[in-house]
Amino acid sequence: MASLARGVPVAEVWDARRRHAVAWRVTAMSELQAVCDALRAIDGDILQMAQQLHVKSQAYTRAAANATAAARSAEGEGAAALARTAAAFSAAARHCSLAAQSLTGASRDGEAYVQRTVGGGSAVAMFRGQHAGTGDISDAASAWPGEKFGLSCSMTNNGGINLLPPTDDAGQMASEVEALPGFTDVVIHGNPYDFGTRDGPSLTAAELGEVIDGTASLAHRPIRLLACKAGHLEGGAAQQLADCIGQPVLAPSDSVFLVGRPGRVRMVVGPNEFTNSGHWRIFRPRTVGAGS
Amino acid sequence: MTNVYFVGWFSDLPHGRTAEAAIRASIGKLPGGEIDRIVRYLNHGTVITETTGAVLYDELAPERPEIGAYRTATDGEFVWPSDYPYYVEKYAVAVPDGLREKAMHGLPRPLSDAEIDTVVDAILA
Repeated sequence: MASLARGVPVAEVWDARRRHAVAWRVTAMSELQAVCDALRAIDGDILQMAQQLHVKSQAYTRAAANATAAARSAEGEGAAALARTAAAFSAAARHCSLAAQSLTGASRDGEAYVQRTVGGGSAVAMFRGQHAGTGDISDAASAWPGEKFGLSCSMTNNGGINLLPPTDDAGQMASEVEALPGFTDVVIHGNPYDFGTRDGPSLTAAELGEVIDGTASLAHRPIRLLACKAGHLEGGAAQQLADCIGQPVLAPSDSVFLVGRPGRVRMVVGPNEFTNSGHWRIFRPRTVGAGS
Repeated sequence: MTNVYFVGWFSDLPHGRTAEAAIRASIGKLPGGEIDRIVRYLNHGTVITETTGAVLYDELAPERPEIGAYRTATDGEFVWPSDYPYYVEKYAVAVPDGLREKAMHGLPRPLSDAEIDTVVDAILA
């Protein structure tokens, strides 16, 4: 302290230190901003790679299924070789799927970092921006409506949206079901009356509709609801959702069972996974005043 | 090829299988000294089924308290729903001899993809 203050008024020393600190903060913030800008720039590439890996995973899965079928009709060494080939394809599919999930997670982490550091984007802004075709996440930054209901958001392997938290394995398995052309998947827990997560609050159909309308990859599209019993009642949760979003909603009449393992998930609608007695019902939006 | 056995889908449960015994006829069939080990074994199976909202309730209690989310687990040979360990622990419901024997000798080992696929194929057959 004595050497610092020698011949220099104390006030000037402190003022110099303050200016230095302010300059350092400005520099640091500028560097953080640059990091965030870089993260935003590569985010689209990351998601594109994830989607390409997902497509490869599906191709490997199909190849594995073909090899398995061929092995069943072959004999001896040929059957064994085909079985080994099927196993190799299956492993490749699994690795591609895991890599895609890892990339999606990295993208999500990057966006969360940007949000924490400079603001301007929710965890799902990337989905909103990307699927809206703008490629710009900053304009989609205002609060995502799902946040106020405690929902998470991740992309399913078929381009839908999983609203369940990463800790919920049901969401992970539902993310792997095969796409249904013409519909975009929404994964959430359900019952005949409303929606929700296992540990969070329940959502009315109107609230889920608000979330869907606020998510560009879902808005204005027909929805397939992977939510148990959402289509059980005539005027129940699925019908109310269709009314709210003004789009057709395809929903299960009974519980949705996701059976299998990563890379090979099959879906059953019924009272248990042995009994595929349920069905998918289409609910079209009712016009105002209809039925009254 | 390993046989696959389904246990715990009692016929009088909402998610039960009609060919199975009724849970009300299965109460108190398990020796008390084995229950802890069997429950621990059942709780360490490989989960092969999840649902998007199916919930299991205690169908033997008048107030039907919630047991938890529906899942299905397996050790590669036996397959059981996630309420089975609850009923074993609380009501000492019957457990097949083969499963009891396995539970007395440790925990289920992790399954390979091929083993899981075998069980899944048996479920969806």
